[in-house]
Amino acid sequence: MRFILLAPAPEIQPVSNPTARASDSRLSPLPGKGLLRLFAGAMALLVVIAGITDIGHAREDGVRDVADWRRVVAAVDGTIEAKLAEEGVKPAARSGDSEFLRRLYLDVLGTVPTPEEADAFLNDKREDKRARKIDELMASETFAENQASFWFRTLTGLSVHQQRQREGQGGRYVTGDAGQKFHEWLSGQISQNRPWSEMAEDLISATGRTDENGAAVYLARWEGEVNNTAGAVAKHFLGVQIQCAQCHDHIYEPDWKQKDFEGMAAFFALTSVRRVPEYGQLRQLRRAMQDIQQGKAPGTSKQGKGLDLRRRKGKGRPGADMPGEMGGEMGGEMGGGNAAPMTRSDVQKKLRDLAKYRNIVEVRDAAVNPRYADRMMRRLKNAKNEELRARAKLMSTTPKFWLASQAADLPGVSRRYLLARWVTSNENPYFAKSLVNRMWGQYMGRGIVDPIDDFNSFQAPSHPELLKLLAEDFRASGHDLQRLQKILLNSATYQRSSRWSAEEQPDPALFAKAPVRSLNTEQLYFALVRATGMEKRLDRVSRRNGQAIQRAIFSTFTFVFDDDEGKAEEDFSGSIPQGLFLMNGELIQRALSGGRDLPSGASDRQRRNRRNRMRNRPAQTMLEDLLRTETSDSARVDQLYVRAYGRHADAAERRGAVSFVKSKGGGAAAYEDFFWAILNSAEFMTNH
Amino acid sequence: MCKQCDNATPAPVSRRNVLRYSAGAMAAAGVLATPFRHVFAEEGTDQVDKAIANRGKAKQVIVLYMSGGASHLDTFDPKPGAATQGDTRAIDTNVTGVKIAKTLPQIAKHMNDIALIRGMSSKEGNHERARYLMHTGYPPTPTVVHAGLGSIVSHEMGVKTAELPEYIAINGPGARPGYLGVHHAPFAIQVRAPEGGSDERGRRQRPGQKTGGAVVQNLTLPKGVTKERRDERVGFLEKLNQRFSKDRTKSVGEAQQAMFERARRLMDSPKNTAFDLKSEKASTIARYGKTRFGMGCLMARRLIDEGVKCVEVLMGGWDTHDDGFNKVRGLNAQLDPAVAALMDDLKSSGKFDETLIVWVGDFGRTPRIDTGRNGRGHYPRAWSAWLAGGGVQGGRVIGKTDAKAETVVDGAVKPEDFYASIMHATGIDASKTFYTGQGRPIQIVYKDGRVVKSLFA
Repeated sequence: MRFILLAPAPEIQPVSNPTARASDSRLSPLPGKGLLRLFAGAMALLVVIAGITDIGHAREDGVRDVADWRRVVAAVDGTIEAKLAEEGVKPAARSGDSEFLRRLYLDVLGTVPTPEEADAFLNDKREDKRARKIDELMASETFAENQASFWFRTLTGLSVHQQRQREGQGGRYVTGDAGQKFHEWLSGQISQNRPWSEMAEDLISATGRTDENGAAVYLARWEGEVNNTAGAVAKHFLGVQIQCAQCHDHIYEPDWKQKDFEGMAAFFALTSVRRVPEYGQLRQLRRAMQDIQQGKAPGTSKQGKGLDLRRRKGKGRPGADMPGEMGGEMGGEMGGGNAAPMTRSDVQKKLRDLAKYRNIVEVRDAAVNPRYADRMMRRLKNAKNEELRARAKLMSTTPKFWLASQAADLPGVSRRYLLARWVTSNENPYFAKSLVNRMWGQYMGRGIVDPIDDFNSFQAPSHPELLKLLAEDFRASGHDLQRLQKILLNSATYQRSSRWSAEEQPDPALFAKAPVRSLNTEQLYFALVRATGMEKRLDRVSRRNGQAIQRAIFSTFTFVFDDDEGKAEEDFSGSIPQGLFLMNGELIQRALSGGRDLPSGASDRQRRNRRNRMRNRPAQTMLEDLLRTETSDSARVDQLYVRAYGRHADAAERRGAVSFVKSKGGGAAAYEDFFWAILNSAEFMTNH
Repeated sequence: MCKQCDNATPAPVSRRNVLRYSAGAMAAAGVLATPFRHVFAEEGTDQVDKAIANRGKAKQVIVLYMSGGASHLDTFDPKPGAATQGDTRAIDTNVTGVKIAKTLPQIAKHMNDIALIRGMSSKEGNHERARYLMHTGYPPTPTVVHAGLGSIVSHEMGVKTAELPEYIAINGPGARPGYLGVHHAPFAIQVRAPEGGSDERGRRQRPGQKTGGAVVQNLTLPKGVTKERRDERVGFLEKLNQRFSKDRTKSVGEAQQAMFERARRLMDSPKNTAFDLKSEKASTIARYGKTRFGMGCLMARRLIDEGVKCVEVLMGGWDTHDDGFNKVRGLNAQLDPAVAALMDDLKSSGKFDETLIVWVGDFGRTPRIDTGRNGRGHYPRAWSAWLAGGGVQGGRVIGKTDAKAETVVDGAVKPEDFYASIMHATGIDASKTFYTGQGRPIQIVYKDGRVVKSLFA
């Protein structure tokens, strides 16, 4: 395999890059020294460029011939069907419209269709209504948000809604404002359909504060720990487990040596993740608060630099108001000792203001900022700690991408940027393949290579030619994520039924039927709030009071339902807290309430009064509303079926449901019980 | 097997992979597996030593987790006279020659039941990473989520039909179940200090606040829903599932019904009164100390009495960078009676010999005192932890630090050794290999872990 370094010279910095921040800081900002470095860099580049015969990037090549996407769909289905025929397996029938629609909504939007949407689709008589629906959903904002959540989870191993701080590896740095920023960044990229290669470049080479550059959150997640970062990047962008070569030569890949891992790790050796200055102030304030609690003047225990703990003279408010502003400098300016110390409420207020910086960090790159390099070197030079010594060694190791023919390090250019160019290069056999495999797994329930991020010569792809075909098309399209997803969603393979009548389930690697997968936390939450009609109320609340309440509800929900990454898609396993939550939780109970029945023994007058009172009060829940507006049991039952399952109940189901409701008196409580069962049924809790 | 990738055993040995691989790939795997035969040969022998005494005596486990990292110098490894010792004084214990901090007088009288490890040595100096390490025996890696000790115990020793969850975490999140799945996730409960008592940070439980019992989320039926209604709901749900599974896979419906079954069992179990401390006498509460941690330990004893396999009690506040000596004194005052009462009660109920108590935290604290802040920083290189009960030989000190408590000079115990020893006590096969959802093999304990013999014999 021959690898070519693509010129990372300043003049070809991706100008199309919308996140200017991410790109401008890749290069040394210092004019004097920096120019020298740049010059040296350019010279080095010329040497490298001289040997270039083929340039990797599709987007620099200009647009190549891209096949009609429909032909790719046909080729995909042809490959799958040929294998099925070879194995003598007859695939499942095409899914019914309602089955398809619910699956599409869950996969693309992360929720179920509303009854109106379901009926409109079922009544649509056009031949190409499925393709139209796919386009419609992929154009929506919810698609971008849902995709962003998927990538958030993939890249950090955590949910964007998981507000609880989790263990290790910088999990805390993806919560709060930083997490929101990352999610916004991802969904922005997806809604403009930015090429995957460019997204990958930004993620791998990002610098800056996580509250300013969302892409930097990806690296912050690994806290700057070199080996973990290298392992994560290889796993996420190449689908390989290179960190296996950290301690020994790779087991499955005799060509991957331990020194290959070192070369890979060296790309990250100049990167550090540091708390922002406001965090230092926050800690000082916490100490100041302790001082006050112990009856001492704030700053008694330790007055660090950077924060003025006196009230600002004449203005009556605490000093150093602006985050990032160095209070110490102002302190000097104000001089004098006559300003009063901050009071408890001053400190409290300021603590509240600064609290959001608790988990904000800055991703620094010493290659582009010599100040950081010097500081790092000083720290590491005399380090006794084993880990720091290893780090110092890596700093002076020339980074080398293990598939590339030569090593390269350009002074003044971010090592991570060089890596990013290599990772995304067309010559890299893994970049496009791993992405199409991930997307295939996302929609088909299983990768062509499985596990999805463990490409090695042991894990033979189930359909090698399919992998090649999709990867080539993806590359030719300029790493167009939406085109790829459109191809997958329009395929007959995706649109098969999940029903399988034979006793024995088919080998999942044949893709003979659609998988039955348990909903992930986000899908379950959004499906629940939509099916119960809570969505509308929450939207109203959000419009009035902002997102906070909705976020808090979601957060408790996530707390109960979020489980670990790495579970097999078809496995459903519920914990006791989940069972208790679903049976007894307030959220479910409130959403389910069918309102109150009229007391049976009441007099006519009481009943009349009560009815009038109820009529004047707006219905509190969807179920209450349904029971008021619809009088036929059969129609009520059917509507609840559509809400939850996106399909109408058949005659037998209606009969069974009506007899259940009637056996329980037919009142609000009976419907609550019925709807509870529907919402907790396997049909609702799975994507099928 | 390697710590980083957990991946040195050729994948095709798992059932999953066997199913997954076509005949051709299997043949290839058979050929390729040959160079790694030593991996198989080693399995089950190198870290499971059945010759060491008292294997499998522990039937239940209590973990007392010191979150933040307890100062070894100011608790179990004092260095009287050393410049680094600071304000803390040492006292003799009931084991000749063993001194611990003066502020742990009751534990000093139980020293003959404690196997004290003064040679703990780890490499993670960051709280979150260290917590992961000390909860799982593995350092965090991006490839996989390892199973925590409680989840391992729940999986290996738990009873499927148990009415209470087999792994209960008190006042903390516990550790994630990782590859063992949510079925073995910690059941997290909060236990409050009694009225007038305080938590680890000295915050008083004010009158009028709910006190005493545990907060178990969603344990009772919602208003207006009777047990009959609940059961009818589940009954109708089963009918719906039968219809759905008729021509689809049955596993989802079955797993889901199992979840409701377990939740119902917990709700209906008379054992769930264990969560209520109201029946405890005032004198008992006084013995444990009127603190959040004391009540956590009392709750742990009650749950152990009901047969729960693993209970973890978290004690916070140990991250004593500032004003460290005062803080540790306060923490010791809470730790001391609670631990002593827990050991006493387990002894009088006869459960002590079958219950392993694990006292451990994130790491130790720097021997060098941060004079500006009068506290100590994070220090994983040399620190203390201890085991008691469950077949562990008490009255022992394992390992030794130098005069400043800076370095382990003898008998270093790495986290994986600590874990191998816990597995020995419980009889769990430390070399047992699991497969993650992605088909990756992981051993319960990292293969370099060795049972610390002197803990048992």
